[in-house]
Amino acid sequence: MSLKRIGAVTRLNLMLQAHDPAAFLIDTAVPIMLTPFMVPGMRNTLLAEGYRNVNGTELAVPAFAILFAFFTVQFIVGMFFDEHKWGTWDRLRTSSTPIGQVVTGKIIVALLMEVFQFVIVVAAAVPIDGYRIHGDVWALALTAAVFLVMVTLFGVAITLFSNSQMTAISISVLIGMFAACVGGAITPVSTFPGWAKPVAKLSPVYWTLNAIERVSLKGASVADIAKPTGIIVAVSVVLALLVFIGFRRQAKTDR
Amino acid sequence: MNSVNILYVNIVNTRQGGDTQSLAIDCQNVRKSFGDHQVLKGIDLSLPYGSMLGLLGRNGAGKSTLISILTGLSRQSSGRALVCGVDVGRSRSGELGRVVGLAPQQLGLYPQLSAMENLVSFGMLQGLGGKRAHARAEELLAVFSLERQAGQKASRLSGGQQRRLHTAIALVHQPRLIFLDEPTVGADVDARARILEAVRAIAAQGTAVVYTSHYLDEFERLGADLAFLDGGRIVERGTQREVIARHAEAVIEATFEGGTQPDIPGWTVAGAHLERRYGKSGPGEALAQLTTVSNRLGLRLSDVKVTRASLENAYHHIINEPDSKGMHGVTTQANTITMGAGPTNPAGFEIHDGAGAGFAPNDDVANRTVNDSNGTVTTQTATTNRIADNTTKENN
Repeated sequence: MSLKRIGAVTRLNLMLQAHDPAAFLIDTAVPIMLTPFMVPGMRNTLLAEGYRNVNGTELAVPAFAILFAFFTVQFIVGMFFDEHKWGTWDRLRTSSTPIGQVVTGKIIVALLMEVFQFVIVVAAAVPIDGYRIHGDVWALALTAAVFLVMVTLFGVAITLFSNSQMTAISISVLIGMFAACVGGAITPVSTFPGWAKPVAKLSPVYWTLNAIERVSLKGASVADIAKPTGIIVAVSVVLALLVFIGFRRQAKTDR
Repeated sequence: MNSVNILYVNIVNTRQGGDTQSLAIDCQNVRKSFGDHQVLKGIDLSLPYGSMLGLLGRNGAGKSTLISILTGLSRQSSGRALVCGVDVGRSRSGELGRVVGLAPQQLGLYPQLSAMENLVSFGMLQGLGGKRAHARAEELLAVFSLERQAGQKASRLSGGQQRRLHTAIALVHQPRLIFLDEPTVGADVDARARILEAVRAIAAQGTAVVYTSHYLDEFERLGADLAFLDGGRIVERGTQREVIARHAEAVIEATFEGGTQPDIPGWTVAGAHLERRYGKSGPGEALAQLTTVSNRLGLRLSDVKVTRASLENAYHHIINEPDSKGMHGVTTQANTITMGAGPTNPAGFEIHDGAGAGFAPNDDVANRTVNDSNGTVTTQTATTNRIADNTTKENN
């Protein structure tokens, strides 16, 4: 594994994204604009659940950041399929950089994009919505990091198993929106009908928001969120396996 | 009756004292199938460093498939292929890329990056450091006359400029072997000239070049040796002079008014016209004969067409007119199969199914030594293969 080669791939893909950032910036701006509409409702829900001294941003801000992280998957999909459109995929395959390192470099850029968007959305909520980070900052950062790695791997896995960019984006939106909504990113799980609450636990978004709620509202530490973050890590491991299988399948198909 | 299952004789020339290290390409019986469709049916090809090979053939002949195998994009179904000493069938991802460059037929550029950024990025992907990649990019921009376009986005370049940049990218890491798959498609006259000039310069520096094109004049301008691919096999190989001498015909076609076809010595009837082949002496004598006959018989010529021996008519003869069995130079007579001079059998080879020179029935290997006019001693090994459709030629 050559860090120099991976660095070259990362540099290239960052340049490519930087040359056409409009769509990504819009994708980042939309949650910043929509979160203020969600905050009052979330405040009422938290007050009804017995929390005090809350303003609703404790869950509204991370929930919307999580929701729109799934929209960023389309840029991950584009990073791979555009190479075929530009005729550069065969150039990459015939270069002296092993294709595994090409994919690794792209995954790094995809993760950086997810992190950038998440951080900007959360940071913008501080002056706009009055968001304040309560609880263990490192626990929140860990939860966010684990979630963003999972979403990145989700995007790459979808790409490797899809025959077209349109298919990949459609599937990623479908699964992403379902996971986000069912997990409580639009409305808290506590407001779901009785039969839907157990279903929420199937979504990794539920466990992400569960960890954030524990830290922000119940003062949990890193050790206290081992279970929810462990579940997200387990999902990430499964996705990483799918990425590996998809990559091998792609390599065979290419030959 | 003895039957000899000889359908396609591979003769592998092994130069005494030679080794695969001196060969940029060393293919032996490379085959490739996609499902039931066999695209390559046994390719034997060798190419020394510093030489240039033009690969010709119809669309669908297997040129791009062969290139994809030799560049590691695809794996052969069977056979062995060494590229710069690397076994392509067993190479790891990235291993071939260190020594091989590819400019595929489809343009491969990042449209939103400038010409310089494209070159630097690919240079760094090839392992060059940032400074070295920049320096190399500047060298290539100068070679391909793109210095003024260095800062322009690739999408804004003209078609010819894009083609030049596309070819330059394949050279950024100074490969030992480069494949240029129709590099002048869509290029203007100026771009074509610059690309050909760059290709000549590359070969002069010791890089082996494999070049495909549908423009035959490009091979003439490059002075490349030629290999003709047809039906998944190399059906002819040699220098341009050799190929033209073996296959090109200089012909005069004469058509008389009213469809008259007088009997003229040396002329044959070919459809609605008469034709005569002429040799190195040129068409003068034949034309004079036509004029004399016309005047004597009071006939009028309506059309005269002189076709010189050229690469084009050699190409048509090789690709469009193989012998009736789809192979070249093979005839059968009682108890003998004679291979005429061909790409893998330049001096001809007789195979008998009884005792005598050649080999006995069911023997599938024969060796002989050939001395050429330059004093080079070559050991030829003949092997037999069945062709894909398993047709068997039998002796009578």
